Amino acid sequence: METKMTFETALSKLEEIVRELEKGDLPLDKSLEKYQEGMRLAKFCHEEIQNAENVIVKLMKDDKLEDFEEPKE
Amino acid sequence: MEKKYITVSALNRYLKYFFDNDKNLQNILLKAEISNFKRHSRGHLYFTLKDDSSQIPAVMFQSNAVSLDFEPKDGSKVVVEGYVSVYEPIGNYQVYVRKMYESGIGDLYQAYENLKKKLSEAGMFDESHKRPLPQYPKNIGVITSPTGAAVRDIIHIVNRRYPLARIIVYPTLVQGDEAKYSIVRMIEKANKDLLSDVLIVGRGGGSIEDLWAFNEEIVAKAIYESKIPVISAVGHETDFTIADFVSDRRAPTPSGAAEIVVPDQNTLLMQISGYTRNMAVSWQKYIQVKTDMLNTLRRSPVILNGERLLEKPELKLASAYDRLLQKRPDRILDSYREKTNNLKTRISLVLENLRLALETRVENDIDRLELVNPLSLMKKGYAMARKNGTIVKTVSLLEKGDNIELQMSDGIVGCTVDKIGKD
Repeated sequence: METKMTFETALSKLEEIVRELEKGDLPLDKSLEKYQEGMRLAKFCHEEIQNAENVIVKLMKDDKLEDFEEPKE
Repeated sequence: MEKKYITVSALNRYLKYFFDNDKNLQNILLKAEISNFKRHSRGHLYFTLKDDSSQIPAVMFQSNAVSLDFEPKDGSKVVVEGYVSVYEPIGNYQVYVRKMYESGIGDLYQAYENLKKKLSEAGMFDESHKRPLPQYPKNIGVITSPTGAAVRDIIHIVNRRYPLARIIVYPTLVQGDEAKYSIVRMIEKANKDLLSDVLIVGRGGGSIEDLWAFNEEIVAKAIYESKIPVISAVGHETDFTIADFVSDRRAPTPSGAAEIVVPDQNTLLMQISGYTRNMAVSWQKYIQVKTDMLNTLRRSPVILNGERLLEKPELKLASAYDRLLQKRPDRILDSYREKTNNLKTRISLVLENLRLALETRVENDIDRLELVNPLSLMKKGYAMARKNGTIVKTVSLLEKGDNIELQMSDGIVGCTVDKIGKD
C-alpha cells in the first residue's frame, strides 16, 4: 500500500488524471485503473477538506516549535 | 512688413504645453517651508513654498489633501511630491502637490525614494525575479509580531479558508531601531530550517515611522535573497514599502495576505466535484467509443457467417476437380483427388481456426467491457485479483506464497496464495 499522501499531492495527481482521461487515448486496462484511482483521489481530497479541523499554529522559539498562543483582542 | 500676433490665451496654452512635456517637472520632490497657507472651503489647500531666497506658489487639491496625516500651517517645514504646471487664466506657474510630509518624516520619505530608485536600478524589483506562490501551501511561515493584530487576522482567515495548512509564526519586532535586524534574522532562519512553502512578512497599520523597518535596505535584501517565496503584508492598502516592491507578491494588508496565500475550501470542494463529473463523462465517452468499435466488429461477415468464407475456396476446388476430370488420366486423377481432399481439409481447418481466433478475440473484448463496470459485477460476488497493482488474468502469473489483493465490491482483501490449480 502507498504511504499516506498529502492533500496537495493528491489534488495535483487528480488534476493530472482528469486531463489524461479527457484525452481518452489510453488502453482499457489503464483507463479503468486511472478512472478508479481518480475517483479514489477525489474522495480522499473531499474527505480531507471535510474532516480538517482547525489550522495548526506553531511558534518558532529558540529553534524549537512550540504551540502558539493567540494574542487576545 | 506684416507682423503675426498671437493671443494671450494661446501663449499661456503654449507655455503650459511646454511645462507639461518636461519630464523633470512632472515628478519633483521639493524641500521647503510653508507660508501664506489658506484652506479653501472646498478643501483645496493654497500656499507658498519657500526657502531662504526664493518662493513658488503651490496648490494641493482636496482629493490629495484628505490623505495628509498632519495639519500644515505657516512655518511648517515640509517635503512635497508633485509636478509643476501653468495655471492658464493668470499665467503663473505653480507646484501641484500630490503628497506632503512633515520635514523629519519628509527626510524619511526622501530616503525611501532614494532607496527605491537605487534598488529598482539594481534590478531588485524585476518581474523576472519574482517566483510563483505555491498553489496549495502546506506550511505557511508568518514573520511578524506574535502579539499583534496582524498574526491574529492571518490565523483566522487561513483557518476559515484552508484549515489543512499549518502556520509557523516566526516572532519579530516590527517597529523601532532593532526591528530590521529582527526581521532579517527571521527571514534567514525560515530559509535555513526550510519548514515553510511560503512566507508572509509584515505587520498591521501605523505611521510611516512605525512601518519604517520595512523600508530598510537589509530587509529588502533578505526578502530578495529568500529561497522561499515571500508575500509582503505591511500596513494598510495605501502604504507602499520597499518590502512590497521587492517581495514576490504584495498583499494590501495582513488579512489580504491570508486571502492570497491559500485557496478557499468551498471553491476547492466545487472544483473536486467538477473533476469527479469530468471523469465520469470522459469514462462514459470512452466506453461508448469502445462499444461502437465492438459492435462494428460483431457485424462483420466473418463473425455473422463464417462459413461463407469457405465458399470461394470450395468453388475453386470444385472447378479444378472438374478440369482434372475432363482430362481423365485416371491414375493421376486419384492422386489429385487425394491431394485436393487433403487441401480442402486443411483450408477448412485454417478457416475454422481463424474464425475461432476472431470469436475469441471478440469474446475477450466483451469480457473486458464487462469489466467496465466492475463494481456491479463484484456485487454479484466476483472479485478482481491484483498482484503488485497489476490485474492477474491467469494463474500462470502466480506462485505459491505470493501476496495478492482481491478487490470486492466494498473493499480489498489481502491474500496469500497457498495452492494453485489449473483448469
